[in-house]
Amino acid sequence: MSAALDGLLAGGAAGRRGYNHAYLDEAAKREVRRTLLKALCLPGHQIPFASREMPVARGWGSGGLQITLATVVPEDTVKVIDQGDDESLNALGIRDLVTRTTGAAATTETPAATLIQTRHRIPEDGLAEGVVLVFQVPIADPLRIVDARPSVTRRMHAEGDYAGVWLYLYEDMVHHDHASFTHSHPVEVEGGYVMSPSPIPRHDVARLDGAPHISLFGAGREATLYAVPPYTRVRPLAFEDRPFETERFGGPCVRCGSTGSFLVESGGEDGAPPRLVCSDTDWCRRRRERAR
Amino acid sequence: MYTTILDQSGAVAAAARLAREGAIAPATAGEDDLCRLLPLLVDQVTAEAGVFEPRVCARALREARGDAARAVSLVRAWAATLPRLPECRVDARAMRPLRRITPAFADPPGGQYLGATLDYAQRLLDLDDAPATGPPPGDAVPAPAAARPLPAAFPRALGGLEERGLVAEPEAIAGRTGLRHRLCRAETGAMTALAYSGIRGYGQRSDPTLVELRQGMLPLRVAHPDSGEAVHAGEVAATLAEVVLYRVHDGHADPRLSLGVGATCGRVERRAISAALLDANCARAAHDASPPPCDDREFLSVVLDGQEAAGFVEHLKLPHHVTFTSDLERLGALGEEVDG
Amino acid sequence: MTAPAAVPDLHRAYRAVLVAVSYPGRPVPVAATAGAALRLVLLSTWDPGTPLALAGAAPELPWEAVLVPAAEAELLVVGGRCSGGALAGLPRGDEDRPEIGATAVYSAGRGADLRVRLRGPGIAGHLDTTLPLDPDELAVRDQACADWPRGVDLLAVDDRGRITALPRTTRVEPRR
Repeated sequence: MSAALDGLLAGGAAGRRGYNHAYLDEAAKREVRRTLLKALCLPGHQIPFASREMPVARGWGSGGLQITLATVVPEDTVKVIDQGDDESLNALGIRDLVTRTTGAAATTETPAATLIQTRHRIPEDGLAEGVVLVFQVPIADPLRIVDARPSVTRRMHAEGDYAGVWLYLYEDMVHHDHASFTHSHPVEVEGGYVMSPSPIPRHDVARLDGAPHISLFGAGREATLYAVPPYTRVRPLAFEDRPFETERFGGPCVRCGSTGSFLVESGGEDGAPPRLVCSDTDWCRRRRERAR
Repeated sequence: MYTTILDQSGAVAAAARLAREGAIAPATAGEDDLCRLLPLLVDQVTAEAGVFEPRVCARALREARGDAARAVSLVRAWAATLPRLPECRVDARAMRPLRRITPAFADPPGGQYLGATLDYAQRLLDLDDAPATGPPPGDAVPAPAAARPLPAAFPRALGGLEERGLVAEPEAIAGRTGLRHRLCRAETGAMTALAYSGIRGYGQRSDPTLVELRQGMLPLRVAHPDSGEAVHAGEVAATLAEVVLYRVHDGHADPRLSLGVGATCGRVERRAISAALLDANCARAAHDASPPPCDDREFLSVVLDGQEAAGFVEHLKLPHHVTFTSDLERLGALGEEVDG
Repeated sequence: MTAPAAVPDLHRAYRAVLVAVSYPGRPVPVAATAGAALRLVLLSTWDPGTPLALAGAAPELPWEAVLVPAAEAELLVVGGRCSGGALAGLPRGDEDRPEIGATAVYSAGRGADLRVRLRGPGIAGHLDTTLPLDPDELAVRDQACADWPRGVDLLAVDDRGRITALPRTTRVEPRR
């Protein structure tokens, strides 16, 4: 994306033939802003919006990007991660677009970040009040597993009819003795809406409850936004006698020794078993630096 | 049922000649070259992007290395940053026609004009290296004087049927206009496949007939910013199709023909025909509880956007190792259960 | 009408709105004066074409607004702390589209603030604070928000150019 952006921006600074500050036109920003305002007043409720064409493909973070571009300020320090990694190519491209069209600073360090756009992870560090966390969402509706038709699932949400997803969980218990959701475990948000937390692992779902930061969710392809305000109850759907389970790993991170973070496999050449490492690369690196 | 068109006075050959006119040897192709070399591919990008700017669409194709989906993405993203003018309306009746066929009728008022089309040319790949600047050997080309110029306007072929009360009034069906809008920019292959599935029998059985297909230039009129008067702002290439469905649908008592209309920017005609078929199918099936995909307005509204489809399918190439780790961890747990 | 605001300033103003709505009852600085704050908040978030109702001491709007009765408004702009019944007439949304419930922005000016205790999303436990609203207005707001998820959402710009939010999710108790 950077080469294309070079060419387009070289056409002139914002105000001539180049791109507007924060890329989006002002009307598009205002629509996103109004939608987010209502989303925060209706925690977990999916609200449609006129999702704009973006220079990232649909399915590649266009929704999250529209939220970021509408809410970013030049004083922000922006972090973008994909699977917890700042150096993922897609994250690099998005961070580049945001900072180059707004003048905001970029960082890979979570404690320094004031606005974070993420795909599939919540950073391991707790985030402070005022930090905006923007989630990229592929499938917005947690009831998609119950029915493919938006007309049907919209009605279910309107009526608070979540029997379908509870039945899905019940059948999991009967057949497997635990929920079959791996990531994207549906949650009930204070006020009663059931929401998809985006494809974050169960390890992260548990950390949404009562968090001090602001969580915004953008599904560009599905043209939907939703939000969870700070200090809001977020509970994964679970039966009382079958508590929600997070992932368990066979060992600590081989790089930093952490036993409390979400790990992924790395390496495994020449017949050696793959090693477990933190998915949050920045968190892991800082742990290693502190240990020295 | 399909009707046949009779070749009159070498019109087929003339149409093929017109279509091949201007072909050039592909060297380093600039935008204008691409527009002349691959006009229908440029038209496909134009239609799916919903942006009539052929040179920009050609440039996008070149930058996308020929990937139409990516080219559409580039064009739409570019257009989204341009200032929008107040809406302008087009009147289909004002189309300056370049081609008009009526498979439903042998000899309709106004006549049939093949225009530039490869439809009836044999699909024989030309392996000759010389650029085809003239007619292929063996084609008898009629003298230009024999070609009839097209009338400025045609009466609507369906008009006679409507006057005779043979066409059902269009029902005010929720979402029909929205579907038609989406069909205008739908992904060509997806739309064709689903329209095909309907004719092929996966839909409710409804024998379609293409009543009329028109291709030409649609004039645009916008309100002048100062005087407010309507002024001519340019022309857009477009193809319009009208299809009727015969056959009484189970439980649908009205025996009259159901009309579907389809439109596309540019000249990729299967777009307009497929759109008309899907529009007619969905209107007929509007009250069905569980229609098959080709009759299901909601399904089509979700699935036919090429950008959403391509983007989401291709997004699988993005890293998914966190979500997959979550999956594997579950499988590990299941594994324990099995070993148990 | 005054000159259009700089785009980065609109970003800053909206960020203040976002933070205010996320942390109800906590004032967030927008600009040096109430007038400037109101203007930036409106310009950053709503369109000139937004169906808008006015109430109270006619506040200055940054555009030629499309004025409608309260029942058709998406946005109510109130000069002062009392809307004279307009708040009660605003759309509250329905179960399918609760987001149609309108937003009311008050240019609250000087006055005696209400002492309240707030609870709900955005608030850790409870928050003891003051709101720049008339008590009757608060009662109307509570009534309009009694049937969740229907309701209206309030923003108040105070005379120091700060914005405070009262979304429909916030439960308000008066206190001494």
